[in-house]
Amino acid sequence: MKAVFIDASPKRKDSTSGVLLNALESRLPAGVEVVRLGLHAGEVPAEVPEALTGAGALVFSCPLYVDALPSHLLSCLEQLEKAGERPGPVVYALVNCGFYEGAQADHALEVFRNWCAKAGLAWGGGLGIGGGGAIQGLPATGKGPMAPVCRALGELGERLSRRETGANAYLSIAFPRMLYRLAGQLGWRQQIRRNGGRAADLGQRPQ
Amino acid sequence: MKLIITDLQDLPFRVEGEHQVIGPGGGPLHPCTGCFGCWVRPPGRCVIPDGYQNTGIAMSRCDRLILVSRCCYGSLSPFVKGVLDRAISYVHPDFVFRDGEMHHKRRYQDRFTLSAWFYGEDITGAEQETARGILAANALNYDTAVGEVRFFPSPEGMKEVAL
Repeated sequence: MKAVFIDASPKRKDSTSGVLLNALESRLPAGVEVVRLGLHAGEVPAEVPEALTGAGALVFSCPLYVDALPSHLLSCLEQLEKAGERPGPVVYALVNCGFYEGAQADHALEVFRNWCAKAGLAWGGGLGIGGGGAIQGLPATGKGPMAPVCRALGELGERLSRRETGANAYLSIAFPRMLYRLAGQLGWRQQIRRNGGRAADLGQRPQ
Repeated sequence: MKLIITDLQDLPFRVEGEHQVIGPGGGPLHPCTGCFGCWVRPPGRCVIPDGYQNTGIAMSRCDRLILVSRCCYGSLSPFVKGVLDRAISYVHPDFVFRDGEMHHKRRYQDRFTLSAWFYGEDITGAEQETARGILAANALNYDTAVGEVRFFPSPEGMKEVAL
């Protein structure tokens, strides 16, 4: 079966969305052939609708932006609504968010579900993954902070290999929430210092 | 001051009092690239100089933020969503906890009420539910209150409404 994996982060490389697709691909059962593509801007490249022909599964991976999907992806979904043949692939999604709670991605997953309804495609369910700010720095192994993420990706991989639909799942990295908050805030202070600013400048209020 | 962010070239309704409109007449909108420059390079403004970089500042000055948008699968339209994606400088990058969830700390002290008027001829019940959920989540993250969330079959349907 062909599965089309779409990295829908605005970042063309080194995105958390791409890391999650790597981890999903490495956990797929035998017999699933993956085609990796990207939607990084508001225009859909021609190879995306072409790849959907004959696909059994379609997986979007994107970050949560302002409690929903990034704007460029909304534009792409509109362009893809009528693309390809029907019944078409079963659609799945991975939405990672910088907040700790993966459940904050629930509305973004609903947008994918609503798109499937308009597009006449089956919604297979998705994962809302919290702690996204740390994922790139963590090994995607079955032990340690990424264990819950890898377990959920493995389960989703099994599901998509059978083209089954299912409920959304919400999860976070296995890392204490207060430490995640502290690490994130230290990161912002390091970044602003690298840019020649001071930590106190993070709270500037330009008028 | 009322701040209206819309994907319509011309608003079909009357707006009374002091207001600012951010719409597609401002030129092409570049989507957010996820660089976080608006938080660290320096904070408060988006680093993409396309005319939409100061939306976060405009949000700090308003007491009502009204989104007038085509409904796109329960979401705001790509344009209105794109303007909001580019305005996360309105909040501080640090985290706080509200209602048991992690959210962003306030940057500004003034608060606005967040409303949305969606239009579209085939907005489903599920899309309306999603749209209401997104607005409530936005309000929680902005640490503000939700006002009206309304649905119209077309922009012309808003003609009788005054803001």
